[in-house]
Amino acid sequence: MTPDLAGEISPLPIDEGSAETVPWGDIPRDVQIEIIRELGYSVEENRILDAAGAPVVDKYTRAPVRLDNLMIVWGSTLLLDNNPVSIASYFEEYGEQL
Amino acid sequence: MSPTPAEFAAAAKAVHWAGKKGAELVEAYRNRKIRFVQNPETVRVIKAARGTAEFRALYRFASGRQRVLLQLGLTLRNIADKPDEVESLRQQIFKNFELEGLHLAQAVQHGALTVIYQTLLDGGLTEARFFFLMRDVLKDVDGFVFFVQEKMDPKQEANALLARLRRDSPMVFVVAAIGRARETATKLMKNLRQTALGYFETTRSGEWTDTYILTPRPPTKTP
Repeated sequence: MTPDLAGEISPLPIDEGSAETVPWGDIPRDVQIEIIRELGYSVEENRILDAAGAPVVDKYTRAPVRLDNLMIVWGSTLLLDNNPVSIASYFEEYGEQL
Repeated sequence: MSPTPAEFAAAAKAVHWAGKKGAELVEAYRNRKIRFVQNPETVRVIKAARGTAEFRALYRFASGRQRVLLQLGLTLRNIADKPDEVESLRQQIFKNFELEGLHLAQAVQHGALTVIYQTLLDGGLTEARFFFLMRDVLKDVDGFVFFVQEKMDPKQEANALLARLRRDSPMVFVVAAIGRARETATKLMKNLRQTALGYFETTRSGEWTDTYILTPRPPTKTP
């Protein structure tokens, strides 16, 4: 059987976009908490909780997301903890929107 | 070193946003004007990996988690001078993708996967055959790459490797060694050469890696 080569080669999505990257660590803690609340989450000590009060875990690594290790990226207001596995997985799913 | 104009402008913009209230920032985020990142360096390193010709060449044969592991393998290579970060990422890869995933990432990090790509490309295959073989390599990297460990017994491993090569007859096989394992690999290959291997051997050495590329000898023609 001859493979459908064209079908096998997925496009490499690249969307640099014009958005700016704001370093999360440069935002004062009280403003960080305000942002998290505006997005529908809550903060308990350092943990991020969803609307039902359950700890938010990273979509890809299932690691708990904390106030000091999160990224806020597009795609259903994802909260990713900041590690290469999550970022590489995110790029694969959504393209380079960072 | 002084910041470049672009870095200076980015820093000024960051300060501008950092001075805003939460609601304003959320509105800007919802309008896709900004995004929040904890450590832009991690993002930069992964984007750099994705931008390499090597990644793009291998990407077309990969699917699903393999594509993530290609990025992580190249990232491991790019942070090689930071042993703590390398170890941390290796652990994360193992935790999320198990040993099989770690082996694929290591094969990318070492360059073994790219060596296989180059060797197969050189083999005069049809595009379809080449494509299928590369897919096979990504699916079962342990069938095509063997990583020598420093503490291995060279003679014992050479015998095991010979049995594997005779059983599976791969079109290309890479014996890879990093750092202190290179000495063990030298001994292993010496043992392997003393057998009727049936494979040609090509050696490549880098700053911290040794690569032995094995390709089958064509059958001897009888007159």
